[in-house]
Amino acid sequence: MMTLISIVALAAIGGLLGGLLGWASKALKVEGDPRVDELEGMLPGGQCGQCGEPGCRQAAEAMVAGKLGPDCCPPGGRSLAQSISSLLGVALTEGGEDIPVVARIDESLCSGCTRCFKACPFDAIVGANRQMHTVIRHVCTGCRLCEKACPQGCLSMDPVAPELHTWQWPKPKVA
Amino acid sequence: MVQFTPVAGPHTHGGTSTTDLMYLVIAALLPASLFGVYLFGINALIVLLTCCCGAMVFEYLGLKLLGRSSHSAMDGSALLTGLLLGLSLPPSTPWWIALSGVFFAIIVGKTVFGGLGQNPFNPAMLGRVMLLICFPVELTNWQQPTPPTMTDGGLAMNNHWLNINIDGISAATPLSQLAGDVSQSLPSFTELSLGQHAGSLGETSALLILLGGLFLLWRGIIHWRIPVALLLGLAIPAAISHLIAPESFGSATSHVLSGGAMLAAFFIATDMVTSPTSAKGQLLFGAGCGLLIWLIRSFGSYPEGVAFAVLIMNATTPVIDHYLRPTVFGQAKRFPL
Amino acid sequence: MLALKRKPFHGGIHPTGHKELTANEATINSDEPQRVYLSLQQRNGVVLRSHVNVGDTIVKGQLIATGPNDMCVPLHAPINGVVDAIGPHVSAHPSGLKVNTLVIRGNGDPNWGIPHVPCDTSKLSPEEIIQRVLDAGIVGLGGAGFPSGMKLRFARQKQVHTLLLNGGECEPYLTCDDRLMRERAAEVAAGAALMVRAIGCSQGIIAIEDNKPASIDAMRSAISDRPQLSVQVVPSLYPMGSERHLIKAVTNQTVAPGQLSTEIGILVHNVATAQAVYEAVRYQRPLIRRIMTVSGGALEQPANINVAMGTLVSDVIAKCGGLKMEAGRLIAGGPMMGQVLPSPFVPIDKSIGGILALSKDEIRAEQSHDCVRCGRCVNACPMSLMPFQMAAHSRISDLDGARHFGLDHCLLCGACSYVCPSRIPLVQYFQHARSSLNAARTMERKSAQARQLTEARQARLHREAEAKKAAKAAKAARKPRKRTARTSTRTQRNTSNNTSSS
Repeated sequence: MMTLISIVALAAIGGLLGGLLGWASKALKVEGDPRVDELEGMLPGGQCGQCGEPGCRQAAEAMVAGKLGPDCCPPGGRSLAQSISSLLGVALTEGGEDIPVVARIDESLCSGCTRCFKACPFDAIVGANRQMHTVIRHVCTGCRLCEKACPQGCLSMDPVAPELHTWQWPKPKVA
Repeated sequence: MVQFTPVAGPHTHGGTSTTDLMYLVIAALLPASLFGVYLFGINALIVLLTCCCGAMVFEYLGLKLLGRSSHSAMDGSALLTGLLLGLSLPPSTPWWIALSGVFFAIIVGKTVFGGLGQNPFNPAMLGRVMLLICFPVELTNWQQPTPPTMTDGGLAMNNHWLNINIDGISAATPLSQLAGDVSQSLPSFTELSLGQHAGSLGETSALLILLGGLFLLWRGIIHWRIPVALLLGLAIPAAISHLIAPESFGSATSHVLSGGAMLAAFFIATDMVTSPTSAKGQLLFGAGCGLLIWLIRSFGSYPEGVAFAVLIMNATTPVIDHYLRPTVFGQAKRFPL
Repeated sequence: MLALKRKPFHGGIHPTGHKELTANEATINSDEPQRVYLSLQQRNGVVLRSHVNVGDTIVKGQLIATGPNDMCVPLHAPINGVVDAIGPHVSAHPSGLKVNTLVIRGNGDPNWGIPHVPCDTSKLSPEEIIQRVLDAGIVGLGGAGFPSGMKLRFARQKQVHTLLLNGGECEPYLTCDDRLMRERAAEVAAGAALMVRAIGCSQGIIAIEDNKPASIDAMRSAISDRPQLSVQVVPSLYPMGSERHLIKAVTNQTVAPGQLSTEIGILVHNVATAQAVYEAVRYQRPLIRRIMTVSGGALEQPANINVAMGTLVSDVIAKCGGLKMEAGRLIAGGPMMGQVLPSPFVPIDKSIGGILALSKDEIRAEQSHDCVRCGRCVNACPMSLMPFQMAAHSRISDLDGARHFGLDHCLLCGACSYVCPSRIPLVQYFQHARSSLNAARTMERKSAQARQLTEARQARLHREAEAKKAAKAAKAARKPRKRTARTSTRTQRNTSNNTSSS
């Protein structure tokens, strides 16, 4: 008798909880992952494609799905990688970091074709038809889209040199 | 070679090192240790030496296991753990029990957490509690002190002292008397402070331990907060309960002077790694230890509660350190006291 | 047990003073240097514009460069001579980065090129006094390097009631403020009185640590005929020279974290700044020289020396007899908060109060060990922070964790590292975490800007496409009916282009 009651009781509890879970999964369903929208808002939005995805939205989806690491976005740099890793709760690997770069136009080679500034998603290049172009260094994110667009090959990426107020103290060496 | 690479200040140092701190604490414990050997004889010395040497060897092995520089085995921290464990054991403990205790203390209490500075629990107390649970008989076999006496023919050492007769004269400790029938005659105040009673190796002479503790306070190795809070946390409930029911509770003096209370106040609870760092946290930690010691002694099934009390408070240290942070200079006090 | 003694604030340490090396020697006046190197970039990154060119002959005291606003002080020629070069030269910053530097070759003439006649300072209005301080290029000589004139103007707006002159000089080795107060007490007092008038406050207090009895006596007699000034003795305890801690010691008031001292009506200036203010207001002389302590165990003749701005550290050391043994480090400032010099050929600037050539025995650099949580740093921290926790979080680049334990409030005073028995380079962890935080903030600002720019660009492209479409539609409406089909396909393609790019 006792065995029967136990079996029935356990089955009832199991059924009840299962039903509750089934109801909850339907009633409390979230369309898409809200983190994708949040992530997309954090990304630079240049659609530069350096992460290997066609655009920032797709990159955000891939990161949420775990297909891309939080440090996949070179224009966002280290700080973006850190905020993404804390949002997604993914560990950030040390050292896999790109040196920040900015574009530089070799002005003796520039033909003024305007292709680079059409390619720039951030409007960081100014110039006009058959006029020499130049890069606004503090706006450039180093996304390298202009480098591919230039037919003259006069665009190069320079590492950002530290200045007095941007120089960083090295981390002490651990004993 | 002048160093021109960026290195942050200060470009000078007070000169104190961790090794200095550890050896000063060991030095402060020496009088009480030597007195313990004087009281209880050769076997006490064997226990102490087993613990100290064993601690160093296990620390060395542990550091090898962690892949660290084995020089740190000489920094005194392992030696101190071994000494504290040895002092908290009964003098008649067999050497192999002491050795297994020190193995547990160093390897399980320290190495598995990542070595010096990472262990949440006081390793010596962890070893003591393990032994108490695994070897309850050996760990509660207390001997009457049998110090050598001066006679006309020179120093006379009896057989117990020389460890010839292993079965020493078993005797009740003041604490087991406290836990049992308080009306029995307890050792006098002088006997308690000088250590003329049965008990653990180094827990007997409250006076010598107090002197060692005062030395540490004077040298600035420990702060007064934990010892004072611990002794008050023990003495105040003891005094109140003794006032209400003198027949079932021991007096404040007997609580403070007997067992490991003094040793805990100055040497065990003040262990740097496992105690809180903020002023408020240290006061709370000390008071909590004292109160728990009194509770375990008065209501628990063990006559002595120092090791349990310290371990329980060790577990609260991270929480205390998190919530009782010092108020930042200039900020309004969070808890106006 | 010593901790039971009454202290004006929590924490603090008593480092070995080493002040006896220089405290009893009179200040030496150094000759005109053969060359001076004047940095055209300030520490905060602001670039000054030079008014002179290579080859120009310039005279001592002449204005040679200015900045874009009042937050950077003008630069004056410290010697007579010719502009030799303008180009990159290594600066006194620990990074050793090169900044644009103006080099003047001196002709050895010590006279001022412009006559500086004394004026009756009692006829000057407060605003005139402030303007003269600004024009003289005076910055805080205690080390912060903030323009003093701006501080005075700000304090006047905030209706500050007390001027506090910092004669604490709590850093070991440094004695230049001590010597200044002994040798030029009257000028310091006069400068203090001028600053009190400029701010419009009621009193000026000169706070001096109790280990400088000669300075206390000298200042007491110098202010005897100035009722608005007083001298207050404070206990010697590092970091007494910190603004907040000095205020606490003198007035028992505390400044809340994140607030400025002017919020509670107190302005703090260094005593050396007061002396410079006197010279600037009375003679309209720009700040082109300062007294600094040149000391350390590796130095032949430690001394206080009055040097021209822009003199190379190597020249200053040579003036003090050179090194008698190999130095471990060259330090600009005191041993606690000073910065390591990247080269002996860096020029001194206005905020450097000392050059130390420390021997290895004095530095006591040792291998660091694991933290044992001894809590000595917590007891030593004058800001009541938990340095070991901050360092532990900084070590694993958990900057938020480090901030949680008070990274933003840290003075970088080094008291924690000084007492740490495990020799953990706590301050460098904090410096590293601070600069990483700064970089992260800059990056965040930049990516926000980038996002804004892309959005603006897309809106613009969209607008342009719309305009094109509208123009085409208008054109098509005017054209004969047969071409409509083609136009419409083109418009369609345009629209599809738009959607794919947005």
